[in-house]
Amino acid sequence: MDSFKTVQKNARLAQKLSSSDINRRLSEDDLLGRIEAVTDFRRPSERNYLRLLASLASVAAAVVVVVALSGSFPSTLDRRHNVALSVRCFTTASLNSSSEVMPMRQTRTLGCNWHLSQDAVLSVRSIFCVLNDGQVGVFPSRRRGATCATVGLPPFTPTSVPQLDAMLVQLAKINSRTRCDHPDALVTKAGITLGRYGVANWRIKNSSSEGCSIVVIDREKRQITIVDRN
Amino acid sequence: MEMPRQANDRASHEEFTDFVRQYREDAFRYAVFFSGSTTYADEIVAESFITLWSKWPQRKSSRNLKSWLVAIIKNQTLNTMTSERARKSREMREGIAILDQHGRQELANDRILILHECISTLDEEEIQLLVLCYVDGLNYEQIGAALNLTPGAVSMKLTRLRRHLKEKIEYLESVASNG
Repeated sequence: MDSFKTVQKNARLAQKLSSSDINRRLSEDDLLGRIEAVTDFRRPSERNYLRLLASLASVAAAVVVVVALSGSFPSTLDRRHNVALSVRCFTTASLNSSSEVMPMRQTRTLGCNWHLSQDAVLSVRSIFCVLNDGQVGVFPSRRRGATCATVGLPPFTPTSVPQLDAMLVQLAKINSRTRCDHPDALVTKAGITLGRYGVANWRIKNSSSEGCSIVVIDREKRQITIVDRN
Repeated sequence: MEMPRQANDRASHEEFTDFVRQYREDAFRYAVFFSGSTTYADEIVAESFITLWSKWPQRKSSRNLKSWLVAIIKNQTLNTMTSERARKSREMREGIAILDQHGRQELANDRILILHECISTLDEEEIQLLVLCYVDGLNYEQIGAALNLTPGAVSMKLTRLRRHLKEKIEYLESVASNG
């Protein structure tokens, strides 16, 4: 017998152990606990702080969503233009559900008022998407993980300061001299750009026939128009 | 057990906790590799990390921490297996241990002990070579990068090491069978 096989056998045994095998025999908690029991080593508690910070960050993000839509935009872009901000509130997470346009000042705390009880309101998430006309649509959802993709729309990302200049630069890149873009594709691309840079209260207007199209940007009117290329 | 003097600074505790988290699984595998069994691995790993913590203020660089851990695990395995052998022989003398009719348990233990005796004679680099090659499953280039050697040097050292171990094991086995 080749005696060196003992080494190889041990190596195979060690390699065969999966993470769950090892965890079952010696979990991280168990090991750290054994070390703590006989030494002055103590597990630092910053992990809990991190968890707390992560929770606070989630809450802050949720607050930003509501505040950004209700208050911050008028204080930056829209106040200058003296335009009343509004969103379209849908009753369910579907474009086919009934909807109404609500001024932002009425949606200051919870986005849209869906005439729900307080308990129900707390369990409902607001999903912010860009509608095909450029307006921000707000959909209620109780389902965890529901996104704008569920309703076939680009997401709207509220930011404390809408990145208008960056959005315009990106929009200008949409047009191509060589490629033939269908107007529907350009509507979607314009919506994605608006949502990505958190620019609300712009309009997307499709004035194109079904041929190759381009986008025309009117900054004063806050409008993106899809027109025929020729 | 005497409480080790430890610099109780927060960074030290954090660094050690991260190290335990990062190498706990590797350490367990090394313990299995050296001991040839999962039976004592948890005890060996726990004792090794306890030793490591008691010496933690003496660490020099994070690069050598893993080598340091491997060396401690090797020594801890030898200590554990030696005391385990002493306990078993005491039990056998007292008629407590029951071996199967072919004495297989004893034979297996002898082979493992011979291996331990061989491993105990290896230097730190040889132990690292064994662990990186057989447990971590690294290729020559990766081992070379870890130990600052060329792949050719790794190959040559491993060949010599295998031959050395094989000869040593065979010699010890022949002594054991004749004795």
